Amino acid sequence: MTAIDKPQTLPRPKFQQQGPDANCMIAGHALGWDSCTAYSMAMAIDSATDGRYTPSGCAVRRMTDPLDVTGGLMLSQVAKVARNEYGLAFSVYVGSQVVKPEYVAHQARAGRPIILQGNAAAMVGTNRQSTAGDVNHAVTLIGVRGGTLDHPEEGLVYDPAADGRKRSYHVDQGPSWWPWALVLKFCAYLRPGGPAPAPRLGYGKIYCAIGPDTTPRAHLVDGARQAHPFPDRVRAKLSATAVHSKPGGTATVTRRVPQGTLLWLYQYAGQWGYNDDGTECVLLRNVTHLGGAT
Amino acid sequence: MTEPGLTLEEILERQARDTANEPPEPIPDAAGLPADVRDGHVDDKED
Repeated sequence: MTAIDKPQTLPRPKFQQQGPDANCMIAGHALGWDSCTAYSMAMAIDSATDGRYTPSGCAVRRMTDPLDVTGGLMLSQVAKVARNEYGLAFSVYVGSQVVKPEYVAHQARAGRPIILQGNAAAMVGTNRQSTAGDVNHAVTLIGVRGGTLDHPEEGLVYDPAADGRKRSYHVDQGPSWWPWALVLKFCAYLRPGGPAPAPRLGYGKIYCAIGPDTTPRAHLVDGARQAHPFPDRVRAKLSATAVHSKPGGTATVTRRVPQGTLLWLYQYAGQWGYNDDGTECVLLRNVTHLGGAT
Repeated sequence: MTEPGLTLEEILERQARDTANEPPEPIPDAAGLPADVRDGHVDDKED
């Protein structure tokens, strides 16, 4: 349920930790710590489907075709699982197709889950550290906030290795908001050619897989039609515009919002406009239409 | 951009959605980068 005076946000998946190794056993192979890309994709699938599909990272790995039980995975392998098993189109940008950080920022702001490839050395010594040191890694970015369109202030990162385990070094517990500068550092530290001494990718390019738009969603009440545009936007017209739990008189008023308050309507039925799941509604004569989905 | 009442976050999200379907710009010096990059074994031996 999204309050009628709040915009929907990118669905946040349930956090999945990849470790320990025994967390993912396939054909006798203990693959937990080798499966960050699979666990990152699992969380991206959870987000992209608003929780309709919640495979474990191990399940994603088990669905690689052909089955891969050796070492880490590539983005193309897990994107293939998303497409073939869940009908989700993840665009993979690797090699000569890598994208600029600004592009990733735009896509994240537009509501698309993104799997980033980078190197965990970037987090060493910070409160976002999740491994002992220099190793290529994958995390899932679920939205950004603050800053500007090209340079957000922070990104919400689901790092499957950030399980809060006790180590001689600090281990973060994900998900966490990372400074955008740390997101960029993580991506820049990737060693595309393999472990050190292979050189790092450097700033200005990002290896990633970008998921489908998590479009606005609604659960229609009986007799309602979906708003168009979706969602529709209106403003409260009265000084204390009533928000109802269901169509009715003052007995159904649950709260009031000030004049001018921006409201998001996802469905209409009769003289009423509703939030996404029909748990809040307003009389249409009490609002001024703005239009345009945001 | 000028619509009153929208927060900065809402304005940025609208701008991002308006441009989200545009293809990425090619990066000239990305030519030759390897495509098949695998993640590594992330933990130490403290298990």
